[in-house]
Amino acid sequence: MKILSIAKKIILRSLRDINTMLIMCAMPLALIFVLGLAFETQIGSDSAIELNDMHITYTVIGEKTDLSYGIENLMVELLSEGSIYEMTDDKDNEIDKLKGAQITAFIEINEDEETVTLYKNNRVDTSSSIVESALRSFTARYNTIVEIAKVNPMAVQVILSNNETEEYVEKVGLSEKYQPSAMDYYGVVMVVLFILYGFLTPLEEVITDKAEGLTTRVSTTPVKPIEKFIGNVLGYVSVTCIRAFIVIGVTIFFYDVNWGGNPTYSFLLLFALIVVMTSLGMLLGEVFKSNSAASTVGHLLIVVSGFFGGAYLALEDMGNIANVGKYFSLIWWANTGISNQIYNNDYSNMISAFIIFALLSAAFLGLSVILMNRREAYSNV
Amino acid sequence: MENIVQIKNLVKSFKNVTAVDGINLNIKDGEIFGLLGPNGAGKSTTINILCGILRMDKGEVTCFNKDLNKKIRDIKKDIGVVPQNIAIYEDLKARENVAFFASLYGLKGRELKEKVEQALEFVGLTDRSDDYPKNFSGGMKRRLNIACAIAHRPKLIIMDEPTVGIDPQSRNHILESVKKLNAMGSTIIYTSHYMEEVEAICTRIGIIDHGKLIACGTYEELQSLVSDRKSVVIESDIGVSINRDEIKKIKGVIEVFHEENIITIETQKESDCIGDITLFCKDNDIPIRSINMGNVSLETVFLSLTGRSLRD
Repeated sequence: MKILSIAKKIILRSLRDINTMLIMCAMPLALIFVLGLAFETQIGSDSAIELNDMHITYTVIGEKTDLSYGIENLMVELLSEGSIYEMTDDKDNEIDKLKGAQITAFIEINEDEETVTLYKNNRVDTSSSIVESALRSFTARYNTIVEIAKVNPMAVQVILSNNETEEYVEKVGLSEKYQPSAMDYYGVVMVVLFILYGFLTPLEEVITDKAEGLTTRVSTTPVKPIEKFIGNVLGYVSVTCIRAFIVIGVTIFFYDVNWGGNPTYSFLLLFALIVVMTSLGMLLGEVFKSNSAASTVGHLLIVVSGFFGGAYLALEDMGNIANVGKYFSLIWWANTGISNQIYNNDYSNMISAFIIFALLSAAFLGLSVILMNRREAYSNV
Repeated sequence: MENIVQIKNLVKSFKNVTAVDGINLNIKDGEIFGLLGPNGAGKSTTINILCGILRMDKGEVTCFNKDLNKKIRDIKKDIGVVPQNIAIYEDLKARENVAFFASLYGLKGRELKEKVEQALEFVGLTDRSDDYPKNFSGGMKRRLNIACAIAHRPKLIIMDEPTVGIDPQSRNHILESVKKLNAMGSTIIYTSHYMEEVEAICTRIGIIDHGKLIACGTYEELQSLVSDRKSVVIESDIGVSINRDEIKKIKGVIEVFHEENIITIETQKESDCIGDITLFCKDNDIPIRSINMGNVSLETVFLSLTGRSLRD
């Protein structure tokens, strides 16, 4: 009850702050609209990746079995007319070609060890990622069928007969209908950026409440520090969620932004990011005494994150700095995780992003608890 | 009467400064206890320890016969704190402010609603309960500040200078409220810089200076500590200017206080200097509306005990 009271108080205060609400919601929506229209011609059909541009080579170690034939079938299904899928024996030469971006990807199928290794070049990231996604889906299904065959060979026949399509990858990301438009791109990027700025609400309120004696007054009540803490987290996360709900709703229903066929995971990742930014705001609020100093640090973190997240310059233009720096950017992790899930059906970045966000949240919240307990005279009684 | 608060050898230091230096104090159930002292004397530190905002370094404090160090949450349930600075949420309505703080004391549902309404009625803000405090006057904010501390009907109410910076009407309202709360069964600890408030409402008074409790008792008991003095109270015009040092030169005058239109002159009990004082006023164009001889004020008691004025 006390926790809910604290959360309710935070939500009421924030929702009544019409100016902040308008800025937080209207700004990203306006930017999506303006940038989406401005870059409509640059992002979209012209930059769409054509499947018939792909050149994939492969080698087989050992006798060809169902594994090799399966991958061959997969490539026939995946690649359109004009693409090349050819066998080779010279692995080193193919890797050199890959470095020179002469081929899209090189696949090594080891029949003896039942392994498939994909070599790809990051400079042709998107097209090789499509191959990677296709292979991931194929190997996952292949492994499942092999395991079932060991236990119940008859079941394999049933599974295969039920499978009416040979496609392992749904090519939604590359079909004409689902080409990412400028609106799609900026829809995701701006929502991520907007969530990053969600740290400002807890930061400002924690500092203002301390300065106005409200934190001390709450400390004179019998509410436990942990109840206060949970109430605060719940309240501030809810506030950003409500704002995000409005912004994302507008992107879906008015801007027609593509959040993928299964947006649940994208929204879960955004929720994890909201928790990270809420905990960061609470931590900065505990550390700093003045709003301006804390906001400066927070904004600086976002600018650095935006820089390495590719918000200002294309990462490819920044060489090694970007290759290392992007891993420190929340924007990069969120954008890559969501984009790869939407357009490549690849969840690997998203899983990494979830883990990173969870660890950061735990660290920020843990530090906030320590600082809050230091302030409390009777944190353990 | 039973002791509701017992403080034994209380010590609290901040780095090299000893803010509270071995205070011993008992506060009885049902009394209005006034805590007096200049800024930095240690009264706020003592109160903050009682409220559970600060931890004591040494000593023993029991509230409602419970050890403060062990049962702080139980104790807090029965305490209401009115902080010196107005601590209310400007963007929550008056009713929501009171309800929020009351809910932190465990009130909920119908009980919460009823007690919130009663608290607002008590401080005279029922008709403004749906307004935001940012539209309130200073006095109304002070009253809301009190309502937030009393909705849960605490046994002990700690009021830290609750009348600072407000108009006389709101001050009278608050002083009447303190008396009413006491009559309803709450014990009150009241700190103030205004002597007349403490004299008017407190049943016992403790004087703190340099972290020590230097005197404690009823008003009469404190007056008896300086039995060698009497006071001359002159009512003059608002805005009149006086030269305190010149008045002090009159034989028998010990100290002079001047606030608004009231001039209080402390003299030696045996001295007969009333004639010299009226003559001085006449010579210096100080109009006299009325003149009264009386016992010494708390200000004089404090001065004689500490050697300095309470407002210093």
